Amino acid sequence: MKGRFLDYWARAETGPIVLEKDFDLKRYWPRVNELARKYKVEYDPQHIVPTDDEQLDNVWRAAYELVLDVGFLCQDTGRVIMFTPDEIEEMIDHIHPVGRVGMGEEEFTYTYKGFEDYDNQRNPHLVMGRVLGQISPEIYSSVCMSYLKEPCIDFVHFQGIIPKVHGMPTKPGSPWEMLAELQRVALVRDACRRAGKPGYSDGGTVPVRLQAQMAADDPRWGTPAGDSRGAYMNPCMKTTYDWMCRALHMYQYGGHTWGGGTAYVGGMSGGPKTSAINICAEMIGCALLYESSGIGTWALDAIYFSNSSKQSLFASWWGGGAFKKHVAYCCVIGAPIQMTYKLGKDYFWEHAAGAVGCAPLGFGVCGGAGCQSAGLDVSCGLGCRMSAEVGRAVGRARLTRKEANEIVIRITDKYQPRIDDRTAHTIGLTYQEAYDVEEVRPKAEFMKTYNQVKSELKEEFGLPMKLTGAI
Amino acid sequence: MTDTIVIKLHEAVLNMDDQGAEQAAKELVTAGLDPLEGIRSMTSAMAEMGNKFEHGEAFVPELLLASDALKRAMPVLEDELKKRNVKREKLGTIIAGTVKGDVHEVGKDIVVMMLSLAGFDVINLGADVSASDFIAAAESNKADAIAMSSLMSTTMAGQRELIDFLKQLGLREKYKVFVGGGSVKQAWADQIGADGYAQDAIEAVSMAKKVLARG
Repeated sequence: MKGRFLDYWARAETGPIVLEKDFDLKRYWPRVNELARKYKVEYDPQHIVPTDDEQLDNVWRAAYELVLDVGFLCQDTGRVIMFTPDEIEEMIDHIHPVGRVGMGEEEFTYTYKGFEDYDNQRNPHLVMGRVLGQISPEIYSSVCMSYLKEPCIDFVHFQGIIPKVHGMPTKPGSPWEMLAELQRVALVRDACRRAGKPGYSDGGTVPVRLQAQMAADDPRWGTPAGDSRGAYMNPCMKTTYDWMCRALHMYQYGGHTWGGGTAYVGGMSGGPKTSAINICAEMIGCALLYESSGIGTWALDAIYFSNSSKQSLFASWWGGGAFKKHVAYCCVIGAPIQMTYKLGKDYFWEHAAGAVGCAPLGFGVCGGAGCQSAGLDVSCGLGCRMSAEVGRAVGRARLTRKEANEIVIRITDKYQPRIDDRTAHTIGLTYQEAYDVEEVRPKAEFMKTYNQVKSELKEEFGLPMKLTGAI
Repeated sequence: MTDTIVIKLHEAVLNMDDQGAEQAAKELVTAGLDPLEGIRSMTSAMAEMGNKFEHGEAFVPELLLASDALKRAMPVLEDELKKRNVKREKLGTIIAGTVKGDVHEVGKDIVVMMLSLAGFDVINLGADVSASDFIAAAESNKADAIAMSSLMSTTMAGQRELIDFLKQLGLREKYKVFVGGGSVKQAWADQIGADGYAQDAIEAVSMAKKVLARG
């Protein structure tokens, strides 16, 4: 399949010219709303996990037509890249059903997993750790190790930002940004080796400027070919030469890329129903334009960033579910990818809600990052472990999507109020408060909170959680 | 008749009808009605839109389209105000943008929208704005405040840079500085000596009103 995107990228120089404001308000916005009406796509807060296959098909049809009618604006050239139905069908036929990241013993292979498909691979079939936000250099290695020590995590996006290098802020485009990336990659690779995982895949995409990322791409000491880096869409339905270059660079290097279907619920993509359509359309776009090795679902509430609110989860799961139902693609990572709370009980509930929703959909699960990925030192491996453990329990229970939905509604009720009053990001601990930094172990109190949530998942929700510490 | 035309103007903005809003504004002027009444009706329509946005019943594109309708009608009414030698009270002029190196605009655009709805004049410089460009815009527009957004931790330093620029140019006391964005918290705002911080678009309005001590 790769190589076809060269033809598509050329359309950034030949496609129809559309001013960006006109693209947003006269082309994209009216059409996504017309399609939502045409296909009767509606937001139902009581059905966050997709259970209605007809509605899922409607989201797919709406997204498909959105791609055909609106296209993707290249912001560098002001031209729209358009596609034909044949090209979308060709993508569906050929997009990789198998993906792999990492190298040697740590190479991890993942294949397509459908809805409620509990006998195909583990459950969930993929667990991705995510480090986000600023991480102090003196604990960077410890934070990395907190993920590496979790056997349930298949690979990690070590995307913690080093805020200063040699006392200088790591501003985009500056030498300090380049130095920070050199330092980050060195720290990550060192931690991986010390954990006995030299081929472990890192998907952290930190530098704003590609030049800084490329500086660390040296197979002798830097980024190995098993790593992946992001090539995304800009909201809504937009691409840039920079994203295309990132995809091309990683592929010619022998690496992989991650894409994302995104939406800011309340923002340009509108409410949850149009956001779901947007997410699915952008996933089609990532597959066509970048042939991503994996695609995440990333809906955020526009006013107060939350990946785990009811509205955001609806948009992510309906949009991603529609894509998954119609495209036999190896990897969709479901939301939440970042938590709203800092490290603590509600942070674990967010992970649990995500895993309960993702596992029956055949999505990979994700976890670890807290505080809207904006705080300092608010990521840890134990969060991701929660996603894995809950996903495994869902697999043992063989939950239907309907059953999962009922549980997700009740779990989100626990933490949604602090998202609604916009205080969630103030609640919880930092990494240093939750973990023994030197020994890289959760402190007793933090572990107690973790086990408490697991017990409640078992007693209150009937999930067959393993309470002994074994996954 | 007064009510009819004013309502027509109000509805045109609410329905995002820019041609209808301009037409209604012309009818209002032709009828010899008070242009301030027209401006109040449009502002009230935008306030309704803002309320709908806060409650998830309207979204950014609709606010932008309603704002376009208001902007289409406003010159008609402002011309009439000039002829009558009447000055419109404003809450303040704010220069807004995302700092250098940062291309994220969604949150900032929502803040711009909410501040405009509240009665501020907001000049939106877009994304990737340097400190010198912020200052140039503030000077040329005789602004009261500069509002900077930074979504990424790596671009937050641009907010401190602006304050450093203002101090070195002897302009620090001339402009209030507001900061916000996904990576920014109150502690950062305090650290760099910003005059105001808001964690989201809704707080931004009350913060701006309080700091600029009007309204």
